[in-house]
Amino acid sequence: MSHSFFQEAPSANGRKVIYQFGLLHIGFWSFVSIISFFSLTLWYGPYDWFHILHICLQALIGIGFTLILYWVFMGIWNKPFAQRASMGLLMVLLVAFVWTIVRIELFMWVTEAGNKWSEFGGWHFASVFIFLCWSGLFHGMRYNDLLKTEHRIMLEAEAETREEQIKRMRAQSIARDAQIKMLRYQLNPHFLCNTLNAINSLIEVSESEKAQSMTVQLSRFLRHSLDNNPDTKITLENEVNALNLYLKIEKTRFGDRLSLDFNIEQEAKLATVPSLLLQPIIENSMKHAIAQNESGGIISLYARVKNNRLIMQLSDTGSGIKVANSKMASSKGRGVGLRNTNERLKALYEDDFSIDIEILPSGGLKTTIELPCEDMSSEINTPNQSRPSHQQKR
Amino acid sequence: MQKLRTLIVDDEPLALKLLRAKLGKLDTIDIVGECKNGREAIAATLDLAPDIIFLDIQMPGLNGFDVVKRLQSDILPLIVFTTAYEQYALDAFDVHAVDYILKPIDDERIARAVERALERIEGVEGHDNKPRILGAIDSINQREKMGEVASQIVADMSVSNQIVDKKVVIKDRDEITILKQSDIEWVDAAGDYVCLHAEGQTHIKRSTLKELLSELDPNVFKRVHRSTIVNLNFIDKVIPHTKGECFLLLGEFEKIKVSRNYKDAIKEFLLGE
Repeated sequence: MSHSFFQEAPSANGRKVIYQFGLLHIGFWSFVSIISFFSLTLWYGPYDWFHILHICLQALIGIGFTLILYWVFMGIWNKPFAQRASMGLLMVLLVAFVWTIVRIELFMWVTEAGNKWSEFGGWHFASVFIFLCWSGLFHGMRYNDLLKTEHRIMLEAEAETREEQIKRMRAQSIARDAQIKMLRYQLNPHFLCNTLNAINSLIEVSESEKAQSMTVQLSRFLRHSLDNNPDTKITLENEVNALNLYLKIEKTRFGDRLSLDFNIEQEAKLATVPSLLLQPIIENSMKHAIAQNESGGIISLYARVKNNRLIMQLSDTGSGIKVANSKMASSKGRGVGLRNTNERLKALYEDDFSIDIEILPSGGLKTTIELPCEDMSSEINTPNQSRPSHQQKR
Repeated sequence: MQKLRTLIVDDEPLALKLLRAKLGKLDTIDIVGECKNGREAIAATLDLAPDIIFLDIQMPGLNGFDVVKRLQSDILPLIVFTTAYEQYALDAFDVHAVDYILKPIDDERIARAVERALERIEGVEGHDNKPRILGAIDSINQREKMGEVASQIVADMSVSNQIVDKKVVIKDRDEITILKQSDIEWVDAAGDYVCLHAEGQTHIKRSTLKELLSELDPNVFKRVHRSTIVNLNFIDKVIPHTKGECFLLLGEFEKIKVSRNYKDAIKEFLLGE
């Protein structure tokens, strides 16, 4: 058991403890000495150096006794109250008794005043109150300290929770930002206006069935974008279905210029991906490859599961403009969209994912995303419960 | 009433279809050609000499802006952009009075664009279409912020440049291009802008033709049209055309029209002087 005032943080408050410790003992005994000088020595006269010397000596010895008391009080601090009170009182009486004997002996020796043992009762009475007073002071200071420490700990805890709250709010706002960005992506006015223009055209030339199906595709695609929270995970199959809604619209717009090459293994279809993960990448390919190339191009998506990892490979055939030139310009512009994807994946998978971008010799862009292979059940259950179903599938 | 010879350009087949259907209803419009990219549009403009082009901006290869930049200002028809473009570009169009139709296209906007085109063609002002569009393109580029530092560098360079070598300094978006005069194939002017065509690219410089002419070597650069200058070293072929006009072929792709008034300069060159 430590005897410092601050058991909680001794190192930080070491100097303060020593200071308080010293103040308690020296301050108290200086006070007692001064009172006894003015109220006893001056009152009863003769005030010579011997009496003052006696006051100083008895104070010094008193410090020794209060040090013992201090040590005892700290020792019994954690005991039940009744035990503490009785032991404390007993100690005070004992110490007062011994101190009285010592100071009477000292008084007789220093002042050569003759036998004072007859006044023992009066001396002892004062001693008891001096030590009781010291004990009161000790406990007052000690409780005050504990209160302060408690208050500080409380404040610290409060600050910590506040900081945590701020952190949580910041994380939430990042997630919401991502969601808004995604929505903005989906509701790209350029895409929307061009699609409506195409529908307009179909109506103009009385191809009402095509116009209808395009309207339905557009509304389905918009609903998918609006309904799906980017935080949720969906199966790759669902993600690809949504992609197809979008690509069907683009296919109506661009005609022969857009070709698709999708190859998704059965096992990969059941793996989950963050909703709307592939959409921006495909849209990027539409914007930078298909729409830029006079003869159009191919958008490919291959997905497979290997070593319990879901590997998705998206590529396009580039803009067809001089490779050396487009390499710089297009990869720069296309990197921005992928940074968002990277941020999203980081939030969901920490470091358990990889995303690679490669510029193909044709000027096209190949994006490879690798995620841990999770199925729908691992979203709902704990990972332990989902494992058997994994193995079942193999 | 004279019909407007019209070229329509859009990379999306459905958009082209819509434009054809809408314009076909107007008896002031005579559609002479349809193109599905910028390259075709330039060739068709040179061949067909339309009065007006309805031009999509977002197209593969050369976009709508590139088409305007590459066409000689002397033969540039009226341009109406059809676009689903971002708002800031539309602001630039408004400021520089460039005609545009927003997608999805509606009859009202088409009628207004055609009406304006007719007014312009019948008016005395003639074809000063290019400087307005260049002004709009310039302010769109300015949005993509040109650092003040860069402007300063350009200013400094323009001064020192004249002493050192025969080069032309161009600030384009956020970079500064320094063109060797010997690389410049041809130049056309439009108001306060000149377009320098070099190595398959078009650079826009804010300068008048007069200012630029004072920098260029008069032995190499000759006027072939009111606002067009050609670097004689790049002429590969001369193709005669009607009414004493002719075309110059620069390299494989660039085709320049020579007006009757400036034919003599080319003649001199052909005769070995």
